[in-house]
This record gives sequence, C-alpha cells and structure tokens, in this order.
Amino acid sequence: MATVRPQLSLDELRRFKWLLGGALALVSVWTVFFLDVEALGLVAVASAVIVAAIARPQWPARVPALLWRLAVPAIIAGVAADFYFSAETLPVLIRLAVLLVTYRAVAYRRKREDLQLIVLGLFLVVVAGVLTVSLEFALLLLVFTACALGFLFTVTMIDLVDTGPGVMRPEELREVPAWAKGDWATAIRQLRRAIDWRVVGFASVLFVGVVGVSALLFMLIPRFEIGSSFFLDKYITRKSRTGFTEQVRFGDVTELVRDESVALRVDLTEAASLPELPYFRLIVLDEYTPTGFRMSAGLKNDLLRAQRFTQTLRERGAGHGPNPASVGGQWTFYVEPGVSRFLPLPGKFATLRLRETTPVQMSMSNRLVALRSEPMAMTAFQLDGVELLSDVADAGFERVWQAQRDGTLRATDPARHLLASTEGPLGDANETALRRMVAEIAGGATLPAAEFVARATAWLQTRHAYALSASIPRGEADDIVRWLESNEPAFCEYFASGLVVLCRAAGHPARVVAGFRGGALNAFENYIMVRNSDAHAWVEVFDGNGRWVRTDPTPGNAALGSRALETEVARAGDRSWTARMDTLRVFWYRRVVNFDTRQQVELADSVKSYATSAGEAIRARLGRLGERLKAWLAGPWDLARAGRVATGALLVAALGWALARVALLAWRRWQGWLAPVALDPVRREAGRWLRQRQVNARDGNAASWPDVLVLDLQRLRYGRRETWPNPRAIFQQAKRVRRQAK
Amino acid sequence: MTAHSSALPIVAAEWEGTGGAAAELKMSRGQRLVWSLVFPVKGHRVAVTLPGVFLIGLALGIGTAAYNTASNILFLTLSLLLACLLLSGLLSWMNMRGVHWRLRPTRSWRAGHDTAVAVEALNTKSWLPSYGLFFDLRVRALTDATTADAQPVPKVREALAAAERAVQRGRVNLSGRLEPNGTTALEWVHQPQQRGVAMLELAAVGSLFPFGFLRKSIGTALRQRVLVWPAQIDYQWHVSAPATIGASGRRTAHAGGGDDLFALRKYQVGDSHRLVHWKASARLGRLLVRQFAAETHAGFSLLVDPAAEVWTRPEQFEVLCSFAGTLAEDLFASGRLRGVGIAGEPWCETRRLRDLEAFLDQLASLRPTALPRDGNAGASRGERAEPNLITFAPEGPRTVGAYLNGHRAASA
Repeated sequence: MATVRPQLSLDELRRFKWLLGGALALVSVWTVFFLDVEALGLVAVASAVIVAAIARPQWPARVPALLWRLAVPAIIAGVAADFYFSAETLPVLIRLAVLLVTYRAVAYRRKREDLQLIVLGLFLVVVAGVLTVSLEFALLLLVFTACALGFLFTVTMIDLVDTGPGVMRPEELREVPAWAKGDWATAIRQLRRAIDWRVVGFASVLFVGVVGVSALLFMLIPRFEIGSSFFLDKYITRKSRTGFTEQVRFGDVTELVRDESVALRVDLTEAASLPELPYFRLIVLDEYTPTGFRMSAGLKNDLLRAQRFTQTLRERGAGHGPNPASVGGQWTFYVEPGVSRFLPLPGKFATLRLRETTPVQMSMSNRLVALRSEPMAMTAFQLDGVELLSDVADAGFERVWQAQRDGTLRATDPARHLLASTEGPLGDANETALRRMVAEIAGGATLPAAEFVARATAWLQTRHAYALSASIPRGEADDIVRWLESNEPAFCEYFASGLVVLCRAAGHPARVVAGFRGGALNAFENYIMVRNSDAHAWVEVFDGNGRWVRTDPTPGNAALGSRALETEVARAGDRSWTARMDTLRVFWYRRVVNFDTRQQVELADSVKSYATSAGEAIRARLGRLGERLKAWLAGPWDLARAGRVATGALLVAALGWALARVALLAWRRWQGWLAPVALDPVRREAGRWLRQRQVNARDGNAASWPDVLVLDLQRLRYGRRETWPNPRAIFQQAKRVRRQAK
Repeated sequence: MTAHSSALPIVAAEWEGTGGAAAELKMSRGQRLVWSLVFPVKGHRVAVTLPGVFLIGLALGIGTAAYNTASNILFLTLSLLLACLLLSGLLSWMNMRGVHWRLRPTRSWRAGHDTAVAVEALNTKSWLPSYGLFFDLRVRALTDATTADAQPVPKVREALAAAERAVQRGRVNLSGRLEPNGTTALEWVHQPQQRGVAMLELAAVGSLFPFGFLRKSIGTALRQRVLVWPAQIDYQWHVSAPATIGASGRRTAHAGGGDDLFALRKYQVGDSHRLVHWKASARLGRLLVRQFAAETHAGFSLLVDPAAEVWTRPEQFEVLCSFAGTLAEDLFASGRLRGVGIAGEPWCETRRLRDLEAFLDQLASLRPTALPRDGNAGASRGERAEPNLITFAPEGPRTVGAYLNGHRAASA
C-alpha cells in the first residue's frame, strides 16, 4: 500500500517561511558587496545576525522589549547622522535599506511585514544591479526571485488559514512563537517526508521556463529612446584604480600590474584585420612634480570647457564615409567599473558612440575623452573608423612652442599652460645630473627629437632592467633623477617618466601617457580581454612638426613599432577556463546590458531572414525530393524491383508497428508510474470483471449480475483499500454469475 | 401522506468541476476559451490582492524607471516580474484544473441551530496536487411569492439590503494540499436564522495560489434546495388539562418493553439469547431476534390550522410553527404522538420518524392561508374524531396556546 505523505502543519509552514525570508534577506544584503558604498562591515554584521536568527528562531524573543522599541528610532537617528556626515545620498540610502532588511529579517513577521521585506530586498538588488550591471547581479537576481517566489507561496498558504491581524503586535515580539520552539533537523525531516520530488522537479522546470520567458519578454519589450541619463549615478561616486587618475605617483601602480582581473573587453567586428595589438590611450600626464606626473590644471580646464551632454562624438578631420585606413570594423568597448573615467582609445576614430546621452569631456588635440564622473557600472561605447596611428596632431601646442622659442609668447596667452610639457625637475642637483646624462646620451650634440629618443631609450634599457618592483637610492635629487642615475630595475612607469625627464632636459617636449598595452584574444568568442596587468605607461614626444609621437622605452616593447598580430594572437589566444567563463560576462554585456533598439531591430530582421531562408530551403528540398521520387517512379519496373520495394515497405511497416508497441508500452508504464493504483492486481481483476459485466449487458444479460456484486466490484476497482470486501469471495461470486449468464 | 426528504436536490450531489458550465454549451476547447473572454461565466472573478497591488505598483515603478533611463537592468527586472505574473496565472490554472467538488449538507436543518455542510473536493490530476483552495458558500432564503406580493414595493436600496440580509455567506479553506487522485471533505457550520425554504449554493471555488497576487474565483452552478425546520421553543404544559387514556392500552408503533411482538430484526452483538426467534432464524438461515411493542400511553394528535384570519401577526405565526414542531417532537420522543395534521392537508399517522420529519417539513414551508371556513376542511378533521386532539390558537399579541380537546393545555 502506498504510504501517505504527511502535510506540513501551520507551524512548520511558518518555520519554513522564516527560513525563506532569511535567505531572501541574505541574498539582498549580499548584493551590496558589489557596490563601493563603504558598507562591507555593516553587511558582514547583518549577515551574521540574519544567519543567527535563521538558525535559532527563538532568539529574537530573548531580545529585551526595550531594544525592539528603540530599534526603529535608532535606525532613523543613525541614518540622519549618516546623512549629515556623508557627502553622498545613495550610499546612505543603501545602508538604511541594509539596516531595515536586517531588522525585518530578525523580527517576527506577519503578512504585511513579509511584503515589506520583499520590497526592501528588491530595492537593494535592483539598485546594486543598476549601479554595477555585473554578471553576478544576474545570478543574485535569479536566486532572489526563486527565494521570493517560495516565500510568497508559503505566505499565501499561511494566509489562507491564519486570519489574525496583518501586522505583529509589540507584545508578540517578546513571546517565543510555537513554530520557533522546534529544531531544524526535525523540520527538515518532516519536509522531506512531505515533499513530492516530482513536484519539486516540475517546479524547477517551471522556474527555468520563467527565466526563458523573461528573456523573451526582455527582447520583445518595446523600447523608446527618451534620451535621459540614469539618475542614481548622480548620488554616488566611485574611485578609479590608481594609475588612471589625473595624478600618478611613482610606485603607485605596483599593485595594478599584479592584478590579473579583466579591466576591459574589446569586441571587434573584423578582428582579423587588426595588424597589431594597439595601445589603448587613457590619460595624458603632462605636468612634472617631484613625486610623479599629473595632468596639468590647464589640460583639465580644456576638458571641462569642452564638456557637453552627448551620445555621439566625431573626431575632427575624420571622414563620414568608409575610411580605407580604418581597421577592426566596429570596436565595442566594455570597460569595467573602477578602471577610469577616461575612455581607452586605440587611435584616431571617426565616431564614438556611447550607450546613452551622457556628459562627456573631451580634448581632441590630445585625443582624450572622459566621462564627467567615475562610472559605477560597466561603461560601454563603440568606435567606428579606427586608425591605429602612433601620433597625435596638436597644432595648438606647436604654435605655443614656436612662440616660446621665438620669445614672442605673451604672458597672458591662454594656451600658455601647454608648456607644462616642457618643464622638468628644478633645482641644481636635478639639473646638473640631467645635463650630465643628456650629454652622455647625445654626445654633446643637439639631436633631433626622434634620434634623441632612440638614443635615450637605448641608454635607459642599457642601464635599467625591467622588474615588477622598483627601489630608488637615497640622495638629494628628485626620485626619478636618482633612479636615472642608478642601475636599479623598475617597471614601465619609471622608464616612461625617465625618458620624459631626459627629453625635456634635452629641450624636447614630452609627456607620459597611461593606458593599456596588449591583451589576450579570447579563443571562444573572438574578443580581446585586456587585464589590469596589461596597464602600461609610455611616452609621447613632440617631434617639432606639430605631432606628438609615441615611443615606448620599457624593455620588451619595440619603440614606435608594433609586433605582428598574428604571432601575438597565436601566443595570447586564451583557451583557459577563465576565458570560457569570461565569455559569459561578454555575452551578458553584449546581449543584455548593451541591448538596444538597434539590436532589437537586427534581431527581428535576423529572425525574419532565418524564417524566410529556412522556408525556402525546405521548399527546395521538398521540390528535389519530389523530382527524385518522380524520376524513381518513372524508372523501369520488373518483378525483382517490385519485390524489393514490397519487402522494404513491409520492413518499414513492421518497424513502425514495433515502435508503436514500444511507445504504447512506455506510455502505459508512464501512466502506471503516475497512478500506481491502476497497477494493483486486485483492482485490475475487478476491472476485468466489470468489463465482463458490460459484455453481458450488451448481450442483454445484465440482470443476472446482482447489484450488490456490482457495487462490491466497483468498490474493489475504485474504492479505498480499507473499505474492500474479501476480493477472493467477490471474484468467485462473479465467476459463478458469468457461468450462469452463459 | 407521502414522506419526502427535507433536502430537495435541484442538481444531484454529483461532482462538478472546472469548466462544467461551459461544457453545457457543447463547444470545442478553443471556442470555449474565446466565448469565455467575450462572455465570462457568472461568478468567474479575478481580484487583485494586497501583494498583487504591490506587484503592480512595483512593475509600474520599475517600468517607468526603465523607460526613463533606458537601463537594461531595469528592463530585465521588469521582464522577470512579468514572467512571474505569467507563471502565477499558469500555476493558478493548473491548480484549479481537474478539481471537482460537491455539496453534502446534513439532512435536517433547524432555525437557530448549528448546521454542518460538507464540501467534498476531488483532485483528478494524476500527480499534481492542488493547494490553497477556498469554497464560498451561500444560503439564500427563498421568499414566498404570495407574501412577497403582499408587501409594498420597497426602494431599490432597501430591497438590496433586505436581499443581503436574507443571505448568509461563509467560506471554508483547504489549508493543506489536495493530493492527486485524492478527496477531502471540509465542513462549514452555520446557523439558519429562519425557517422556510432556502437555497444552499456553492457560490465560487477560488484560490490565491500560488503567490497570492490575484484572488481567482470560479463560479459554480452547484446549488441545493433545503428546508429549514422551525426553531425549537420553550413552552409550559398545564397538567390540569384532561386527557383520554385508552382503557386496555393501545399498542404503539414503537419498539419497547411491552408484551406484544412488534417485529423481528437481525441479531446484534449484545442481544440476549432468550430473544432469538429460533424458528424464523432456522428458516432464513440467519439469527433473528424478537422486538416487542412499547407500552400504551395516552396518545395525542396535533392539528395546526394556519388560517390567515386567525394568525394575523407574522411573529405569532412563527411561534405557532415552532411550538407545534417542538410539541410534536417531544410527544414523539415519549411515544405519545399518534398523528399530525395541518388544516386542509391530509392527516398523517406518526408511526415512524420520517412521518414526524414530513410534518416538520410541512411546518418549514407553512404560510398563513385563507382557508374556506365553510365546514369542508373542518369536516375532514371532525370526521376523524381524534381523541386527545391538540389545536392551537393565539393568546394575546405574542403567545400561542395549545388546546387539548378544547381545553387550554400548554402555552408558548
């Protein structure tokens, strides 16, 4: 006899509601981990408290009543103070939401408080998702949805029976409810007994279906270009990684070069046309300070003055039509949050298109594009007509430089700040040392910029080796001068700064440029992964002819040259599991985060073209089949051929029959699995006798079957086993009746 | 007089299930779906609950933010919310699918007494249980057409209020799950307020399943007509009233401790062996025992005359019905009720319990009638010349008196 699965009692349902509510709160609180809002300690404490409350549901009743009464006022007071001391609004709101979620998760709840918990949790999840657009958000959103659905299901089941008030009364918080007095082991055992795993499996399939349907809806929801920027990012800021801000101190980037996480991904429509792995220019550091290089105030002002609210930028001089010199087709960049507010640019471009209308700062003479503030989320933008040039035309600087050399530059010239690219370390110690080094490099001659750069690079690489850390000997001069005088190894930042200082000392304007160099081609999805360890610094030297020319003094990087992409890619094509997982993130960026009306139209077009081509292909194939059949039928028929055809037809028929039998058998077994009662031999026997009675009824002998016997047979066939009469006696009686009916 | 059941089923107590009403239209499933959209079945209702309002507000908020900001994360969240709403509808449909129900009211309903109505639910699905069902029940007093016509036409609001007062509503919830191929019975206890004919209806079967966003109800055509007997009432018996007692004792129609053989019945465990009727047992092949008739008592007959000109006050008429019913039951319980009758109706000897129940059924739907006072009706009673005949008459504005052979014997 099949065992009867027990039902969960109301108290057990309440206990599992407590568990699901806690899980929901934990998931929502953990999303804050992806936000840079200085709440990690709070999240850790909240998580510990929630886990403790889940494990011991009776503990909240032991909290003194005074604490429960003071909890909400204390939260309000704390948040008010937080507002007062914090410069940003959103982090305060997030901390408030974390506190409220924790409070709701650890206090006993009724229906209305349950709904509050869901809404607060959803607020945290959505805010975190919107601000970070990370792939982890998708995972947490799915987990949150599963928890919320289970939670709502339990709430509904309880609500059907529990007709009490919708909110908890204060005095109820002090009493340990009956459901909280048991232990989890017993509750879980009871749950295992009560659960039908087929239903659980079915629910899982349905949840997968929900995800599929939501993906479909996501693609089908009509979108309009309202052109408004997102609002939350105004209330929160984020700091960039050291190395890509307006000031770089010597040695600051040591951590960065050891970081193997992906900083940006570059998706090219024509990856094969890329001749070399480009330098991704991020920021220009033109002003020397004794502790490092930084962006001059003049350059910052240039950027600010050019700021505008736009979605599309066109570089001056770039053509609107297809440019034969452009490479890579369309470049789509996905820059991880926290990298920099400056956008990485591989060279000259025709069009730069952002995902939405955004305040953008730009300086086309320096080929710099920056967002107004550090983005909290992944930044995506596209470039068209990219030319991988190693120089930047700057007519403005040429004019100022010539005027400075001619002595005609006025003190009030607004472009005077550009001369920051000519000023090196000051002071006797520095100047003496630099003069000596320049003389050593140039041999006392005045060399053109390109030749001096070549010699200085060679001189640097001869004296210094490459290393991931640097040490500077003590002395009176500035750090970079002391390093130049030493033979200490260092990394790119020192080589670039050293070369800039030498060039300036030799009378050649130069500046440090920071960005990325290199990357690895993802072998699965054909895009370039640029890691933080690919961060690099190089030099741009003014050639005296109106152009800043790139040179890379770091050992291992060819100056002004490039390595063939084929060899680079062959070496860097990444087939690791990390790369495989990274494709998931790129899929998320490409198909979800970056999905817009254009892609929607493209998708509709591709579906339409696929359907059309598939229809045509099927029609063509059917047509060919028809032709072949016609030709086959038109062929000469003889006895042997007819026999072969007949044998084949018979074989096909036999095979079809066998398959049908197997399918029928499988169907019956499935039905038997669904309703094991039908397989009971007594019930089947009773069913046979009832059918026999129907046969007799058709023959007009139904009257010979007593009503009592029919009722007994029906009871054996359909009734509960406890109510059965003796089956053997009933079947014997039925046998006698049949014999008499004959 | 023929005894009949107090429950008068209009629809037999057969299983009824989802789609039952539409099935009567003999349409295909698709046609039925389209038709139900054009002309929803009566009682089918979908109402938004508090969590549903939350969800709609949330979806609207997120949707607005998504369009304002073009944030795909918000579009994704919105899609997930909409997909959950679709899932909710699908699960709700699956939950109700294959569920059948029927009503099993108790046979006797009495005004002012708790009455149980069993609602049986059957889940014919093979392996999916059903959860969180509720059954909305309604008892509606059916007003008598003749008395309704006599009333002045009320205002619409008053009429609606009166109609609402005449309806008793209740809900029973299925707290657990209804197993696949399983049945369950839920009990609704309610107290009828007045005697008469009432219609017990299963107004709707609904569910908040699965997430409580929507309260979905399915109207059912399941209803059953029931009779509500008059309420029992306290009365005072005046012992001074003379009653005629039979000289040699009359044999009653009840089993008891007398000497006369009353009947034979099947042997039951505990019966004395001395009572076994061996001869009959041998003939029929099973044990039979003898039953003896009860001793004779002074027998009484009840006659209720619902003459409208006598019973001018409705509340006094209600007291009459309750008094007559209570007296009849008490006399029957003590084995002293010989017959009952209502003026203008056939006389009934009360030998069995169902005779008494038939009398209570008559009292349930009794209305003051303008009987012809010419002697015909009275003659039919008078010809019987029943000894110890109890009749009823008004005493003052509220009280009803019972008269034994014309003498005041009891009052209520």
